[in-house]
Amino acid sequence: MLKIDRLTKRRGSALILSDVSFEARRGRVTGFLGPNGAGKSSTLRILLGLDHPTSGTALVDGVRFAALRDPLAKVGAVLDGSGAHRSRTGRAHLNWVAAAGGIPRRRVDEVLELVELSGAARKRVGGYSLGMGRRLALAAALLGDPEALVLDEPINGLDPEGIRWIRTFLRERAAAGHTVLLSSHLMGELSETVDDVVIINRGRVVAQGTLAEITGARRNLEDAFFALTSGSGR
Amino acid sequence: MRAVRALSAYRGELSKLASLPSVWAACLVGVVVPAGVAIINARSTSVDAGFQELAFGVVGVIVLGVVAASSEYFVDGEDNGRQITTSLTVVPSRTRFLLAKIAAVTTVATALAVVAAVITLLLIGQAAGLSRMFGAVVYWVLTALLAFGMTLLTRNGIIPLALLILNTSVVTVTFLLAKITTLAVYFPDMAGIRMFITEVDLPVRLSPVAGGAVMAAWVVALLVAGFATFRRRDA
Amino acid sequence: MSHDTRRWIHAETTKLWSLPATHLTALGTLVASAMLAIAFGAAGRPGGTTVLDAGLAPVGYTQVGFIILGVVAVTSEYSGGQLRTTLTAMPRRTTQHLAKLVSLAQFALLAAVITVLASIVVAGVVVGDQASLTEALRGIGGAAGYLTLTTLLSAAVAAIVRRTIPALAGLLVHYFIAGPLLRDRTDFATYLPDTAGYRMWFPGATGRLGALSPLTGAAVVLAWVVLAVAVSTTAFRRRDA
Repeated sequence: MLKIDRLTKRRGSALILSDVSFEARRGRVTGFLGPNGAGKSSTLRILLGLDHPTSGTALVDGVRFAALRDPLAKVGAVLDGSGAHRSRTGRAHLNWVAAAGGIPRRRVDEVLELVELSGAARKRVGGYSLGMGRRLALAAALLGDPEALVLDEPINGLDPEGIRWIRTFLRERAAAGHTVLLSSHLMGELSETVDDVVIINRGRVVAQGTLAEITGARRNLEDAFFALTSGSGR
Repeated sequence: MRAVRALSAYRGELSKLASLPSVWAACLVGVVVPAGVAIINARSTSVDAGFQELAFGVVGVIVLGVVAASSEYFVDGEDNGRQITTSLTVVPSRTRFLLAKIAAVTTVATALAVVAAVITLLLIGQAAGLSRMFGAVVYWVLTALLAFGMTLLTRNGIIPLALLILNTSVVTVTFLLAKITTLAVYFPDMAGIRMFITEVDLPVRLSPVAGGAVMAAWVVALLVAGFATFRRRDA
Repeated sequence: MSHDTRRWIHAETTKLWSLPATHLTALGTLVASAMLAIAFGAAGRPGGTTVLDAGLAPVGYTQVGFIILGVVAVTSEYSGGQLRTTLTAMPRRTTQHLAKLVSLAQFALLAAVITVLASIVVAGVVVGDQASLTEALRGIGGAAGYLTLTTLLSAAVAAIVRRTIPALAGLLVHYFIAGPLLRDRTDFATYLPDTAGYRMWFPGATGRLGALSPLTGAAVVLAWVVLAVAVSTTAFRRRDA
């Protein structure tokens, strides 16, 4: 459903992405893994139309994100931070996002309930903890009950309980036939969550396949990851 | 030991200022505005020629004072990266931190004021009385500290920037107020301007020293208030 | 208007109204303007100040509130990474940018009409006179139009600069220092957005301030707005968010 095709991105003389291609399919959780600065966020930002690629395409059901008819119902995105202005309340933030997608207000209450932020809905985002900010971002992504979820480092800032919750949640989304694409630099946290794995290092995809294929003969995903990305300086 | 720590805190604040593009832009404005007006005005014969231009260039140190404080709190796009947290872990004593900052702002404002004054007065060919030039420099420095103090107090650069720049305009708000109440002559700018402008259409006469003292009193009061709240509140 | 456009204007309006900075700015401007109207009414030449003069003169100062409004409406997108949320919810950038400006114009127009009306009423009380209804309506219309255009120009400049303090400092230096100084000394200043629009809100202006008729002035200011919006839209489309 999400198709990244030969993506290259230069910033000045720096090569951020080089010929990156992979797919995230329906009903599966795809883990997009790599060390910090490998190009994960850049890829996701291009997929979401936030950054412009130098060449290549990133398509959602064959269409560029910016050309989607109903973006909130197609893709929900969680990038770093809360994605909300600090002096707005959590509910006010979700209200304008809902308005943009023509989504009824009662859905705002539903998603607040879902991410367990109902109690803090009238507080200003500036007073939120890191974890609450992440949950607000997730609530905004879920407003349109999207076919696909794109999450950049979703585990960052969550407490152990939150990590457990989001793992279960993402598995359920995939089981219901939705697409889930998540990036992470934490391998250990992910091996129980993902079906497919794409490993990126220094702007290039170094391996992709099912979890079993990537792990292969090695003990676990973490070992495989370090074997594939060794020499990256980390 | 204390002197060493104070000196390194001061150096730290100076390099912080030097690394802010807005500070460089402010310096540019501080020199270009009065010099530019001086060039357009070249034929002026007023006894205040050159000094009036400097009264407008003060906008440069307004931006300097505001940015010195607001950059600790408020950077667009970086919501969770408030520099103040880092600053206070590097220089844990809030008093030393603020004194270092005030010293750094004073240094930059003085340098900028001297450069702007020399260039402007040369351009206009004004035989500069040294004491008047000194008065103009003091006015600039006090204005920078005024802007800094207001921003520290409000933790928001927008309000001080708007009020102070608005009040540097051709007919200032305080001047207008002076038409209604003579008390308005004791506003910091109306009082401080006497340090270097001789022709003022204001109801109360103040000597340059008295004017400077009134303005300094405002600045001290504001900095003390800023200090008190800054020491009490959470970073 | 397409379905999207209407929704997105609605979303941008919701956004604008839920930002405390916009209400506070509008409210502060209203109060400051009324106080200045009292000052102008009281300070005016004996027997010479009309209600409209005293009520409209504050616009020269209170436009600062509208400049802040325009800047903050745009740069608030860059706080907390909100722009990412905006562009994932409203990915067509030209439409999004214009939707924001339309909702901002509506807000500014409303705030301007209330502010100018209140100032004229207050001035009327202080001066102890009345303005003719047609003249008052003309004054309110012209001033509100000027303030709305100024808000839009400020928003476009802020969208190009993307940072609050630099955008605001630049605009304020132009409107309150460079503009007034230039208009006293150079001819081209007649066509700068502050001087050109002067007679829109202050019909009695003379010299370069009165050089252009209110309508011509409005056209010149509008041209500046169109130019700035064209540049900001292009920049917004091209840049990585």
